[in-house]
Amino acid sequence: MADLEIRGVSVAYGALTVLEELNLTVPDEEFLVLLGPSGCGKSTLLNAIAGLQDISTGQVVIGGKNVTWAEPSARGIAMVFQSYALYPRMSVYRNLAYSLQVARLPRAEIEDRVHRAAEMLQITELLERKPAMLSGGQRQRVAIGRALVRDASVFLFDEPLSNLDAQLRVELRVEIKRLHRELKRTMIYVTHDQVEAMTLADKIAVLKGGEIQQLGTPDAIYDTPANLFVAGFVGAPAMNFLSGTVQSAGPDLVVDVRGTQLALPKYARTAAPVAGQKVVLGIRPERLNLDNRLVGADCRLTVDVDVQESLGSEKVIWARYQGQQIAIKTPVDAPAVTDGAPLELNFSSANVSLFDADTETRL
Amino acid sequence: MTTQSRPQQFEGPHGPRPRRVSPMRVVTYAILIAAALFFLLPVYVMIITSLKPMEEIRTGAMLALPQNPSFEAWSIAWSQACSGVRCEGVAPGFWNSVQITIPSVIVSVLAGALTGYTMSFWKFRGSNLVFAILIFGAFVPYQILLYPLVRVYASLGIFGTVGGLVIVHSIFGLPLTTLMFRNFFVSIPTELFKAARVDGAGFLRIFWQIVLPMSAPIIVVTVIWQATGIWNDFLMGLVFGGREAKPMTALLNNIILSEFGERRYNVEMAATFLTALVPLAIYLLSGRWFVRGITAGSVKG
Ligand SMILES: Nc1ncnc2c1ncn2[C@@H]1O[C@H](COP(=O)(O)OP(=O)(O)OP(=O)(O)O)[C@@H](O)[C@H]1O
Ligand SMILES: [Mg+2]
Repeated sequence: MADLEIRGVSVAYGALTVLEELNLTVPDEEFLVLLGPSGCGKSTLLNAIAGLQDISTGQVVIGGKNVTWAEPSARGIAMVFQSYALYPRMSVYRNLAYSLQVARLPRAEIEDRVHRAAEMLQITELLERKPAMLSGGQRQRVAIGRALVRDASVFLFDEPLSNLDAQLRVELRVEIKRLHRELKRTMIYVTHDQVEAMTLADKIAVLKGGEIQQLGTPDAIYDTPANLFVAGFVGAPAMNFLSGTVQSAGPDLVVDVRGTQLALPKYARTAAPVAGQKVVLGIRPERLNLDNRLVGADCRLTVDVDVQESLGSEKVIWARYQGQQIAIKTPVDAPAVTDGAPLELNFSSANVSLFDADTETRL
Repeated sequence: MTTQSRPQQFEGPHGPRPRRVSPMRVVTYAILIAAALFFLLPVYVMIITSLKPMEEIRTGAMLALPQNPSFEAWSIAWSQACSGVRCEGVAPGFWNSVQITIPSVIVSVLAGALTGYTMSFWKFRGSNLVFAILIFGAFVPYQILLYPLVRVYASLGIFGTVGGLVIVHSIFGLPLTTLMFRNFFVSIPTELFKAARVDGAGFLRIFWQIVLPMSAPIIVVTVIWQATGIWNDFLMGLVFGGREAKPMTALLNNIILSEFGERRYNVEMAATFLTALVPLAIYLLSGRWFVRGITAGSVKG
């Protein structure tokens, strides 16, 4: 029901500038995930949107309305916090109803809305309890419910699942996704969990040091990272990096990675590499193959196997190439390899990423 | 792999470790008992002396139980003992103390809660400085302020009134109660406060409906602290109480000082005990809460 626009927003804590002139536009009904390492300013940005944090420059516009100076409750937002932040002295019902009571809605409507939200989140049986009598997962459901009853146009989530165990996280993640589909509201979701980011997002904004490194669909972020930071931050095990030099930058791009010449005919360039340029070549662990049957694999690289880890559904082989560590993700039923032995890998030049070694941006 | 179908026999230590009385524990208890005796013995002597008639006290058997216990001395102490020319016992002082203590406690605790809340959650430019100055106030020796305050009170015409004492106690109590509340509020996650703001609650509503209901432990501690402190106050009562608004402690002192001839130990003991009764009752009734509140760390949400 509302789009969100952040125009040139800066936030500083005393002398420490956390966000500087940040611009971000989130279309209506989009699910945007803010992904980034700890301390990069994700919560700060969310608080600035919510009006819980004073900004030193810029504007926040929600649904076409400039809410820069508006109170948090008047911005049409709802927020879910990492620590649940339930009112400990109030029952679950009152926790949900509180904002409506503050807004002096008629009692019947409050009851109606609370029950609807409770049903959506399957917490109807818990309405009479105090937060202390709930499990972590139930608490987070209540916290989400408290946002739901407000019927806001923009939902803000600040790492809502990071206090939960792995199984509950998956469960609630799916639930949040379902809620987004049903409610059709703009949602902004902060996390540093990549799986959450990849599965929930329509768009991901990767943040570092208060700056947006890349804004794009999960696939775009994963397959064509805009710089070395994004490439290394998203994905586990992380993308493999090989340093090298551009040999030929003509129609047939050739990169020398410490002794191996790799021709990259299918690489989609975004900038023009020049011969002699120092580059970093990135390739995802699961894009590296052991068997030769793969169609379209036009690059070859021989590495030395170090150790292997079986994860049940897949296997990770750790290898070395010219002193650089290489991870290879393969199905468990892939051909067996021997520790310490050389191993020939092949991959498609369409799946690599090239970065300038100095500017660290994508080529 | 075999499963165990019958109880297994173990070699060596197994099951719960046998408990032994360690020397450390014996020493601990010995020290605790000695400390308890040290404090309880005077109380015992006070009580039995107050229950004895003077003839019995004169025999000098301090620790002996009274032969004919009677509350006569208590009744004299309460309503007849003389302080100067007035012979009304400690009763007027008791009522003064009640009238001084209750409002002073309410005001200093509420004001401390409110300032602590403001400084924890509604930081403004310079709020840390204000806090530092306020805390500094807790360390200023009262003696420095006494004379100027007496002059101010005299010119305002509130010298020697209960209201004047309430104001003194409220102001002098504020730094400490603020500090206690602020330290407690530090343990409340700020996200809770943010959630309330998103829910539309304002400054006072968050205070009354969210923060205060969570603060029961620290409220109990500060109330007990302030109530006993103000009840036991002697200096302020002596200086600002004048003739009419003397609290019980100051009156007790007068009564004991203005006795002449043979000292009526039983009456003095009874009067002293009457004066100590209120803080004693507060501790006995709420000691458990007090300890719980002082040790209360984080707030589970
Ligand atoms: N109240 C504050 N006062 C001073 N500095 C702060 C304050 N809050 C945050 N910061 C600083 O601002 C930076 C960004 O903090 P922020 O909480 O936005 O990070 P984040 O991306 O949410 O991290 P996390 O993933 O750990 O939650 C950090 O360097 C942090 O130390
Ligand atoms: Mg954060």
